[in-house]
Amino acid sequence: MMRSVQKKVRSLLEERGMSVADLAARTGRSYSDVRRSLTEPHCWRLDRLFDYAEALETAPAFLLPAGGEAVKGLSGMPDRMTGFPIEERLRSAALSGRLVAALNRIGRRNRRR
Amino acid sequence: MTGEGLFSFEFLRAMAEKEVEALLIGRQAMAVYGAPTATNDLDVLVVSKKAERILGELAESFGLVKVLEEERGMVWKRRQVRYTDDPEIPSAAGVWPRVVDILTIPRMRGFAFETAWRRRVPIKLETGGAFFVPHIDDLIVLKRRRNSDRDKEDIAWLKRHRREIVEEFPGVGG
Repeated sequence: MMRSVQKKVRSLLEERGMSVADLAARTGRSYSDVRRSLTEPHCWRLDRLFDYAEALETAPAFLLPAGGEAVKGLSGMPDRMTGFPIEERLRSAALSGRLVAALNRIGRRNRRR
Repeated sequence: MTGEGLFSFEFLRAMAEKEVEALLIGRQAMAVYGAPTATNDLDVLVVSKKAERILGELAESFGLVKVLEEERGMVWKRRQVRYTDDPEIPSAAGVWPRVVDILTIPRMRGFAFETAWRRRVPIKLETGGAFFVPHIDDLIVLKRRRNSDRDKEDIAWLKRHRREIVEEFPGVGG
């Protein structure tokens, strides 16, 4: 599971054009600490998950894997996002929507081959 | 304005500033209620031409263009206007086009806009103003109308969380 969270964070960094150094600066952590957390077997504490989610402007739940499967509607995610402000809920929906759209696009392209 | 996944919020913020008589429906409304949903589209329900015009102008101010305008229904009239990134401009079309659907549904079986508007749920913004979502029961009725597999899944979710949602979002009527 940890590896997929690390992968997710790395892909979000790439998507947002951010570097590891940017993430370190935004979370107030050292570069080596952040780099290690993204590359080596590493057990994160919850505060790291929340810090990274905030720095990446996404919901913490979005960083967690959905059973290794593509995001489909309501499956594989927490049943209700409580404790998040409305803006975060909308942001999470939009980012998940993009992910679903991207997966569908890849799927369509693969089917055409 | 294109925002990193925040177009919907920027649009809703602008909508709140304009004080438009409109309800955010569809999966974005479900997201407001806390559903961990995935959607790119903004569905907004209006009843007046004036509201439709204001929202159209708003969509255009975000660089969107009208790509669809249609009316359906003999008894239960339904009008849909869609704004999206200009498909003719490759850079604007983007990978994840922004979509705003403005729907006019004055009434249909089990639903009347006036009633839904009376018991609307205001979502106050930190920057001031508010946009509105329908009461959970009205959202269920709207979803039941289309009743696709996704809608059925959404209805089940809404029913499962109805009590806590009503507590968290009491609505204008309290």
